Amino acid sequence: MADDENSLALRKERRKRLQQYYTDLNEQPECEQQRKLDNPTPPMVMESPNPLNINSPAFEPDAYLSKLLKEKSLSDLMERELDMVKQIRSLDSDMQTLVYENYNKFIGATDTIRQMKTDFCKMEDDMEQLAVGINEITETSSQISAALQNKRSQISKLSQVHTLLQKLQFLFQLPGRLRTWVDTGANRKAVNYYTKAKSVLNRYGNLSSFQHIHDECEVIVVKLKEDLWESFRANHDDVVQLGETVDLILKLGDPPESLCAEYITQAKIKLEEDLAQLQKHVEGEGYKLRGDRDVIDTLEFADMACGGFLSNHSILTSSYIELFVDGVGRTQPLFQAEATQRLIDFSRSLVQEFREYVETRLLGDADNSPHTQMVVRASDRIYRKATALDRLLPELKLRDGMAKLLVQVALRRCNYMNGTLDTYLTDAITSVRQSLASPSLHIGGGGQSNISQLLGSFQGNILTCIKSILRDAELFIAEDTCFSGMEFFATEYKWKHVREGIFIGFIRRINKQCEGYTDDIGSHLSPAMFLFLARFVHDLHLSTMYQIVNLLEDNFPRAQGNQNGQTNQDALAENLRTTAQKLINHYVRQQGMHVSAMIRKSIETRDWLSTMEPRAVRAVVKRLVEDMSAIDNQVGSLFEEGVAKAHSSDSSRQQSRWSYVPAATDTNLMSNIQKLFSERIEVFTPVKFNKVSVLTGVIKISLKTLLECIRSKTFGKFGLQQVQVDCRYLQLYLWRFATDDNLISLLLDEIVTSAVHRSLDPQLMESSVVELLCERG
Amino acid sequence: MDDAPVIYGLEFPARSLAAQCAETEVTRFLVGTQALRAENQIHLVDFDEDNNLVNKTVYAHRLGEIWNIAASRGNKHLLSTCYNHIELNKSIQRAAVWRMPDSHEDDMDSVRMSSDSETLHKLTDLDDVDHVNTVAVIWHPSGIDDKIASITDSALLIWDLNAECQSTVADVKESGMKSKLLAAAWNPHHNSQQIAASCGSTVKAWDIRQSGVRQGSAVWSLESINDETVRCIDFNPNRPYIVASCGDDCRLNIWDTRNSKQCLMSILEHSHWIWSVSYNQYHDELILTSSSDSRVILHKLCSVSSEPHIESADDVSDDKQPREDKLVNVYEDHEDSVYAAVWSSVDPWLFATLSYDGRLVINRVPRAEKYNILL
Repeated sequence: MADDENSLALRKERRKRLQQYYTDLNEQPECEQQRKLDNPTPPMVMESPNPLNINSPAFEPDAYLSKLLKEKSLSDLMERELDMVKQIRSLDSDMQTLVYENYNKFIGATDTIRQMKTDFCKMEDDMEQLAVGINEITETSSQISAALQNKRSQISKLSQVHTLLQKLQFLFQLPGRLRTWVDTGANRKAVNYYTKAKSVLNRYGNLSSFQHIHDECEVIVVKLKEDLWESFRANHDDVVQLGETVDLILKLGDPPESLCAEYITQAKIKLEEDLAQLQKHVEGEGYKLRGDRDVIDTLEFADMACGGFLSNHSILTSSYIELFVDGVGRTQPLFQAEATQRLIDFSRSLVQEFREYVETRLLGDADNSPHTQMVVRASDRIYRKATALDRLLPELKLRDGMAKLLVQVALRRCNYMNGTLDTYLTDAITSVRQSLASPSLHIGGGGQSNISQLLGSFQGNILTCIKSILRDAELFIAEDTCFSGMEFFATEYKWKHVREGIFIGFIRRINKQCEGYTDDIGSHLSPAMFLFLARFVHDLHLSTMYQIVNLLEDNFPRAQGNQNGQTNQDALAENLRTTAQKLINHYVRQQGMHVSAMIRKSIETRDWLSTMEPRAVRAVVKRLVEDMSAIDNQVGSLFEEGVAKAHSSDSSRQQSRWSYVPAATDTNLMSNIQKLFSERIEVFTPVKFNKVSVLTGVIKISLKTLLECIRSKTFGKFGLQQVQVDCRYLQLYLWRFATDDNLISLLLDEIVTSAVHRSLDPQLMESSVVELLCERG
Repeated sequence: MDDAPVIYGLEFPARSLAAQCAETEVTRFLVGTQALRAENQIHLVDFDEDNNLVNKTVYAHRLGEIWNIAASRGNKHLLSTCYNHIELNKSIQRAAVWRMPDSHEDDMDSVRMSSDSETLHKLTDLDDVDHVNTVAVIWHPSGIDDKIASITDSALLIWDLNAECQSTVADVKESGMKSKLLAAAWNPHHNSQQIAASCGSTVKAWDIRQSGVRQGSAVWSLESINDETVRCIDFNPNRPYIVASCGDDCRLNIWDTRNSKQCLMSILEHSHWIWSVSYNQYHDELILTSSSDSRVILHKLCSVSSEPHIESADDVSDDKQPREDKLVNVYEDHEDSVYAAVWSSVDPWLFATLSYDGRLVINRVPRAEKYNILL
């Protein structure tokens, strides 16, 4: 076939080419015209017929000859002739060859045709023989089939009879079988076969033989039905069984309406049992008063809720839908709607009650349970199971209710976590207070390294606590929970409730609490505690706060855009800085007051008019230096050294300037002039977070107090000299604690000047004697 | 712009300052010097507001250095001083009532030699045999001049100048208190029958009618929580029961005397002891404190003033700053401890402060704040 087609195409092609060849001459002008129309610029290849072109069809020999004769010389002509003769000769021989070849081919073709003629004759004979053979076959076949016709109808009749007999046998055996099945409890089989046979029995029930069978079956089935009803009413533990039983009864042809009502009643009994069990573990007093042993934990409660109520409800509902809504209802649309309605009515109150129990329990546990993980997993399980039930009964909106509950649980849990953090902080602060109050850490007790260790562990513990709370918070958005995808948990929960509510809020509360200590003038925290808190808040401001924020970045980032209620981090840091400053200021003030009280007492209780000639530095002044040294130790254990102004080389050695005995009015004048030239003393500058600055603050307050006390007294000669000795001693020992020893010198100068002014007999001591007394200590 | 402060310098240290309360035309202040070994003076300083000029009259006070000065509210010629008296290596404080010469106005015209100081006429001494060391004298707030109170270390005494007799209202030694009395204020409310005095860290008030043979017990008593000395007290002139106190705890405390357990407000701005607190007589939200940190601070405490929040419906004060408690200004014109700060009795926006180095500074409430209060 393919070959044929190919050859056909080949032939067509060939024919076309031949035609083209022969029609070429005639059509050429037309084509030419056509081309010209098509294309305004004539193709260069085609030329107008040239009569002088020997190859052209319009060739005119005479013209050509005359032209040659005119144009060419004789030798050229000769040559031309020779050339032409040669061409003509070769053309002749070519033609001869072609003719000969064609002739040969023609002879070959004739032979072939002749051969074909003989072959066809032979074939015709064969075909005739074949036709005869086939006729014979047809005849034989029809004979055979006519012969077998009889038997075939017999066979089919026989097989029909066989099936009928089988059926009959089944019918006859049915009562027995039914009985066996019923006895062995294979109720489903019995019902299935009975329903199959029922129609037949009904149709042929009037025949006596069938009558018997029919009756017998009916008896069995009625009994079966009774059994089924009985088990249906009695047994509501196994909800699967319940569905099956109802299915069977339904198949046995009892009216679906009453069955449906009965089913709901039975289901209700079962579900109410489940609820009652749940209630036991929810109801306020019983649940709380019962001993620890009986109280089940959240997870067990969740299992109970899932495995009990939710799962039973799901099974009951699905078999109800299968039986009544999809099964019976398919044929009775009216009943379908009614059945659905009944189901919803029945479920609504039960589910409502269930929700109340679960809500009470979960919220209660969210408030109290120490294990967040348990709460999350319990909520997750219940939510999953509730979602499954929701798919069956979307009308109850159980899933939405549960989602709302989840949000509430999460919020309550956030509160709980807040409470945990706060309690932890309070406890930690209390324990630090106790540690600081213990004798080993007391001022001058020498336990400086302990206080910084205490700070380290305090900070570490708080961070650990924060981390563990963070892990708890992450449980709510862990990927394996089914509600991590809820919008609330993806957005608001993350930034508002956890980030802002718990952690930023915690920092804020630390800040507030610490700030409260400084505001509350009745707060009886020890100075060491203030120092400790100052350092803690300072660290919080510099690093700890950012550590916490970094911890949050992974799972609880800032919300996109400018949401209301987002904390500005810089403002928070600034608040912390202010609080740290307040705390350290408070420390300085507290210590200053402590030293001041001592100084005041020592000055006010003494009669400076009639005092003895000074023999030594007063004990209280030495005590002052000792206290400073103790404070120095205490501050040094928590704060860095800080930068002191370069001490002038002779600062401690410089001679007292008060060795002259000034006239009364001169003192004032001198001190005023002195003040003019020295820069104004900023006695009270803000304290920085380093040791020297803190110490300087305390010293300044103490010396200022000394000055004020001196000014309120009147001095005799020796009283003044005692002050002179004391001040010199202070000058020798205090400079090393302070940033600027010039400042201390100035204050001490002023104290002595004031004492001179307040003296009735202003005679200062020889400075060499003063030095001696000071060295003796 | 606010006017620059006017500074008046004394040759001697000083810690006592009082406004001449009875004078209603000219702003006048009394300053007492404190020189142990020189003759002390009382400077009567006139402030000419129009020209921002200060005129002074100097009176000699030969009895000793002055620790406290007070002016009568009824008679502008009367004043009292507490001064140091030294005898036998003992220093005690005594008090006296003085009358200034009547010819004060003439002095202004006929310029006398300044070195030739005027003399004061001593009316009476306020000395009691049992109670020495008078630390302060206070005049009756309503200007009844025959009644005057003095505070000694241990007792509160009431003097009747006409009858030249004295009665003891309270004796702290006998009532078993250890601290000394330090400052006192006469309650201007309720017929001026109460005097409050500070005793260590507590403030106690006594009813002056209880005077007699037996001293009465305190009417009320305010206990500072931190055990720091109270150095000055002042009653709110317009709102009863409200008292301001200050002292070594560096705080300005406002109390309601009906609730002695807790103060209404406690403001920590100074960094050393506060030596004086003073209510503005006209606008009692303005309170002046001065401290040995050499600063003077003007507070505005509306919430405890006599005009707390009158934000009624016809309130058009949206453009006005809300009336809130704030620190109005810190004055840093002094270089030494400021022991006294008093308001002018004439111009409610004017006050004077005195530091130990003898520098008297007359200053004003910032103009912005003044308009804020007035408008």
